[in-house]
Amino acid sequence: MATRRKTGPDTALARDYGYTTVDDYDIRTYILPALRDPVRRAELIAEHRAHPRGAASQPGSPPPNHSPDLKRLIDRLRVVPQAGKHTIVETIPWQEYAIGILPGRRGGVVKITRERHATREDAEHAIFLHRLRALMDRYGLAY
Amino acid sequence: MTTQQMMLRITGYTDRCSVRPGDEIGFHVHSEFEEPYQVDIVRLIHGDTNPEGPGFKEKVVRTPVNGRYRGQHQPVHAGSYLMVPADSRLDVESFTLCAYAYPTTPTVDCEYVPVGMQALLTKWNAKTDTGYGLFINEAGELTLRIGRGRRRLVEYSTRKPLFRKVWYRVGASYDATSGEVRIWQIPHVTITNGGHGMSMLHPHEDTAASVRYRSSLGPPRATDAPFLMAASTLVPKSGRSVQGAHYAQLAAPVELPEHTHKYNGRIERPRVANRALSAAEVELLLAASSVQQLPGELREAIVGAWDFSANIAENAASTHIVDAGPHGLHGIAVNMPVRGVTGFNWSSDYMSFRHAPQEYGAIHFHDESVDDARWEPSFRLKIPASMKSGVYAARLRVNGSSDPDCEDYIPFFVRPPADGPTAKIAFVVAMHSYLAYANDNLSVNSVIAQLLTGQVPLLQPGDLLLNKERGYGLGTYTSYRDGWGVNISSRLRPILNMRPKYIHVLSPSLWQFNADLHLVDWLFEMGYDVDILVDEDVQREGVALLKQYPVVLTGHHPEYMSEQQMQAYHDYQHQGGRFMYLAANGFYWICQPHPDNPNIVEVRKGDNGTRAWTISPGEYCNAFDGKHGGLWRVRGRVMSKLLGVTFTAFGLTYSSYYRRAPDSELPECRWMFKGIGRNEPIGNFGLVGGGAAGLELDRYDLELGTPHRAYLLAHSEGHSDMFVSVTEESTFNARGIIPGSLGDNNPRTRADIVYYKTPNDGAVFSVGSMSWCGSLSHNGYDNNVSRLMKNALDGFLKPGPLP
Repeated sequence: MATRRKTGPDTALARDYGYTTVDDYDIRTYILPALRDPVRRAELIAEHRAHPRGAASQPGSPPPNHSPDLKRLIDRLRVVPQAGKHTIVETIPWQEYAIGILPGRRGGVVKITRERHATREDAEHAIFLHRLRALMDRYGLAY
Repeated sequence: MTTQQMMLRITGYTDRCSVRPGDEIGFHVHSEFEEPYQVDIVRLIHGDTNPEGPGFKEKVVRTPVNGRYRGQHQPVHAGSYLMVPADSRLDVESFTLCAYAYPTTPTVDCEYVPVGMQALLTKWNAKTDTGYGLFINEAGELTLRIGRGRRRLVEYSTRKPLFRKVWYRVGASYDATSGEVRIWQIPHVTITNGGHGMSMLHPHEDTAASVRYRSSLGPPRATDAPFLMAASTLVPKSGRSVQGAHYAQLAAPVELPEHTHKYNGRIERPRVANRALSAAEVELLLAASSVQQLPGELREAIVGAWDFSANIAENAASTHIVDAGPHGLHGIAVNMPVRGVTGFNWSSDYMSFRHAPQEYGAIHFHDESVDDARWEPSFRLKIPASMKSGVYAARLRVNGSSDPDCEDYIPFFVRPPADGPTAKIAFVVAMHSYLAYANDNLSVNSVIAQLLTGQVPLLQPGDLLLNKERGYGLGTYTSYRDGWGVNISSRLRPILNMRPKYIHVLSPSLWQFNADLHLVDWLFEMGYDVDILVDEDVQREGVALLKQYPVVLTGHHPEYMSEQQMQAYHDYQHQGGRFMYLAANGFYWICQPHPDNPNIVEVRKGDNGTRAWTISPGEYCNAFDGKHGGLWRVRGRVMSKLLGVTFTAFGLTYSSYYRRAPDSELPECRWMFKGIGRNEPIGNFGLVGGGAAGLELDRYDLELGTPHRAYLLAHSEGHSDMFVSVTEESTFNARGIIPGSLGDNNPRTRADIVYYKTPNDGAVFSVGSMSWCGSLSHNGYDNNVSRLMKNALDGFLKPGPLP
């Protein structure tokens, strides 16, 4: 298999060291503190379950924005690489939603898992939990 | 349930999209598993299957084509290339092949997926291993192949990798008498010529090479394969031909090969000589912009010397490839490679190929591009005289099943008969915008899509097929696998996000075609007669077509407009037309149809605008008309001059509602609000994000051309923090700054409903929101969005001056 051929030393530049290092700093600084606290973590999960995809604005109430901690968390979870990323597949319109795994490239096959949910919101929340668990595993935190 | 069971098994496209009674329209259908299918022509009324709305509505129309058909598997041969038909003068024994080349995926694509062998200049039959060709091998090295058939082939490489986004002089020669092979790749780097590629190429030796070999195989065997650039031949005759439309220059059909070894990158000044040239001769040959400048001895050796700058003076749309050599071995471009792009000698002194064609002599090839699927026709429908103007589709069902993976709809649009309108209202279908968004494949490919929408994408059976088929040529919201934005989109292929029942990645529910059926449904249910027109009708017939109608409506997102369309709407408003813009972010991007084929459009996204990609340096001008591409506002035609409002913010998420503004109580305006309370929120309901103000929002702005006598009837408020400002108004980003900032706590994040009068009793009514039409059906069509629409439309239909 052909890979991007090395034409010099394996420098930090080639491995995008700058990005990945600052990304790691940001996660430890801004995301993990809320996740380390089981009470706060449970609150974030409950908040997400209530409005996993957001909600319409209504007169007389402020817009239904997520809390700052939840925003930081879901924005970070949403930008994990496409390869192996969870997605939702409509198996029966308006009745059944499967969890799929993206191939991360065109021409690949979207894998459909056995996991099923009754609503798109339930599937969205389930994916949030999968991604949260993966992030916590990456940093050695017990879920 | 496996992916294969979920994936769409049948699809297709039409040969035209706008037809009149008496016209014929051809349908091209692909069956994934060659299964029989049932066809029914249906009139589409409402495409939204959401149980909270009125539900899916279609009416079967009895036509002679309704019936059962045998399924045929029809692949798409994607990937752009140039073809010179087989000619014995190209069956050389000794030879030199050379060109400038700018590879963009020398080994892997932007997802780090290996690309494999790529062909630059070949007369090579990949099935029989005969002929010769200059390639880039799997390791990214320039490679010469010589083949004598039955796996008797030799390969000689430079043993050095080519770098991405670097111009090279590349070539190889073979002397049949001595058996000597030479192959070279010499970087040709200037400060400007690599676009955003590097210009400090040091050490040079990492990629420069010139190598000699000795071959004992003998000369290449002649092959019936055509001479291809950016591909090689898998099968010399594919059964698919080109002539007419964007091949208007061809007097007779030319049969295409099935091609392989598809190349991503640019080629310029390709040359073939019938002997092994010296290094000095190659240098002369590549440096000369005209063959006439060359010494006679060298000229006599030339078999072909193609000049891509030769026919781009006015536009760079032609598929004719000029051979400036002695034999006139002209070629054709297949699958619309990109012309009007900067070449190896681009100095940055010019920003348009029209000003300096000699610096734009390159062509950029992409292995996923498609100009026309060229499928066999499956059936043809003659539009019956009784067919009322409307939105229709051929409904295809594998074995008659309505399961989502077995059912597809191929939409088409019936306009009124040639003898005149059949209604006072025209709805112009935004086909150019549907084409721009065609087959975006963002659900699978885009990281940012989840941030823009605040949700995980939902994949339907068509999305699964689309990803397997690599987007069927993709659309202008996607990048090719070499990272270049897709700037050309064709309708002559299945467009799987232009379907009823489709849920779109860029919305909590619907977008584009299916969302526009919300309006079709409301007009139908409210009993209005409407004529359906399509962008290309306005493009071709201009204001003469529009002015036959007292009222013209848009759908929810007519974002992409050609110059001819902009002019037609301008003239319509000045000549007394009454225009209802039921949308946001309309008339935004410059979009130009191909001069010879309205089914293919081009979009170049410049440095400015809320955009999916940015064009490369120096390439702002459309190939299709030679004029500056990008935003209409950079050409002085900001949308608010025609619509009264300008794109201000977007949030591809849940929606909000409007509040009435004081102008709505003026005598000139209050007739539109009959039955709506002064303090009543408008549109806090709907099928697109639960509100009438959503997705994308427009505001009035007197500095940007909103007419001085415009009335502000209502504005939205309370949009969530998923909304953001448009990038074209961002100069500095700063926390707390209003323009260019986030959407919440920002008074520019709002949709404005604006109304103004135009000369000769004309008028414009703009809603400034993309989710407006999704609220029309709420509560059995009895709601204040529906009421305001009906009041405005009924008022616009009344002859004589407006209040």
